[in-house]
Amino acid sequence: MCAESSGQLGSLIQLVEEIGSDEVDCVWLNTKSAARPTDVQHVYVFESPSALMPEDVAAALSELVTGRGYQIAVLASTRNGREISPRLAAKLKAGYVDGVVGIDKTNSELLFKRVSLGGAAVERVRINTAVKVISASLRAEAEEVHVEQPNAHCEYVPARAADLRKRVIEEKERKLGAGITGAQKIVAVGRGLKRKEDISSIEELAKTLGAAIGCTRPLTEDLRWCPADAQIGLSGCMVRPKLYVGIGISGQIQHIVGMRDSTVIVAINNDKKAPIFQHADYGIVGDLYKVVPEIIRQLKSN
Amino acid sequence: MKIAVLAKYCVDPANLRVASDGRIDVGGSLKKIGESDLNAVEEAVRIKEALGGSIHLYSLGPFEASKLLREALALGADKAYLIADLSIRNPDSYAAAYILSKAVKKQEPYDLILAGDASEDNYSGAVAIMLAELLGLPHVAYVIKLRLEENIARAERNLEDRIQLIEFTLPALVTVTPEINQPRFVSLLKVMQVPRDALIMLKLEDLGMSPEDYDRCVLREQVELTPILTARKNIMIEGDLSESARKLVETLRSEGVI
Repeated sequence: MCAESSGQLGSLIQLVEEIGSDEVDCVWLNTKSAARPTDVQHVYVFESPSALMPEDVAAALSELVTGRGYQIAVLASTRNGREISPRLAAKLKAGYVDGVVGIDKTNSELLFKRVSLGGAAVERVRINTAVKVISASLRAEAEEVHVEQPNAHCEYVPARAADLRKRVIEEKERKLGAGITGAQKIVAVGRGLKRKEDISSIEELAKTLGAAIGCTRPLTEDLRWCPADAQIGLSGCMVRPKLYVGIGISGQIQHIVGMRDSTVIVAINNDKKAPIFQHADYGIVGDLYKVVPEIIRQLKSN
Repeated sequence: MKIAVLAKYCVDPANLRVASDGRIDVGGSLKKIGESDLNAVEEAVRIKEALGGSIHLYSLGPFEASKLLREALALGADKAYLIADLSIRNPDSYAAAYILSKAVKKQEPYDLILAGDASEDNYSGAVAIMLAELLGLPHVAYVIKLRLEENIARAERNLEDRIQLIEFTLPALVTVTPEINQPRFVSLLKVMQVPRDALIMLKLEDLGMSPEDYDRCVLREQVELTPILTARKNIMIEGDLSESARKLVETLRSEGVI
């Protein structure tokens, strides 16, 4: 398994345990977090005088997999992992499954489970090659893994940065879903909102409930009314609050995937046929411009 | 500037057809060109408008995909290569990338290959990156801003937890996210004006591949597809405005969530 940070270890180890291997080694893709997790035999760290690009990491991993005879390489299904894994798989001509959420074992055959069709279905996939490359979906519930400090028992493997004629000039960290991941209550808004300034009534409802504000993709990417880190869904954040209130959201599957694990789901929409109602516990059909102020009034009145 | 754009013919997850036995009828569901692939076409057209050059689209799919490809051509591309062959059944990402690499190599060299970051149906984003590997090209993925100058390209890319500014030289493969642009509106007239010969159909044979070659590059297969069903209460709160708002607040209080 190949980890970028210790935060990913829990998810990777869970998946590796489901696969059921008696020998698990760990490769650190980021030297800063290099340490030895318990129950892991060998720990490798790539050593390079200059920064490694995904192309370089894939090349170094491919040598490691071939040289030491590994059968399965497991990476994290982050954007970075999704750049390295397909390169690695193509180099090894190994079957590749991304975003693996679990393993099905029947007659000792491994089937990899992944979410498909924009979140509408789960598919079970068989890999027909001896060497397999997997990217594992990170699990919010995965336990933190104890790692031995300091960098004891790490084997430093030299890796080469190829001249790719590309370089990183600047990097800005971004707090992803700062407000919404981990929030207990979320009020989310969608295209039902007519003007940007109308978001103030949504903000008032969120404030009254003590909730964070989330939104659908068009509100960040097309209209830019909300910050990118408020986006809930397949290309945004996955959230699972105790209470989710969706306002003026039709319920495109990309958005539903990001919120369907919430405990209680409320939907408010003027179209009684909006798909979101099928995914809601409680629904109100009505004009959000009338319903929202009324809910605020009711919340404040007692 | 010679540009190739990968355009996936994919299932539209927002319009899935469910068969009477509850299974998803993938074949019968509505199809579309991947949303971010259209952003890639739009970006290519903007580059062509600024620097001149040509745009070739590449797609894998049945003959029916030609209608959607004509719509993509109408955005401002010059040619579209549709690789349609009855031997191509359920390609995995490696098989798709391998076939595309054969097709692209026939028309090489390209200065830039563009593609969407991932298609809505599978959301793997693997084909373009595998193609870069097979063509021996560097890639820059998840690009939200792209600027090309004479000898240098600059891209801003979104890695979710960080934004990276990358400087690189062409040739390269770039994948874009929907944040990069808003594809222009294409009228029916524009689609009808696309020349007939702008769309070129290719078979595996044209790429020097036999059906056996194809079978050998399918490395994974789907065994089962199960719809995800969520059990929700689906209670519609009715009544006049203040009554329904009051009922909702009461219900949420009794559920203990507020």
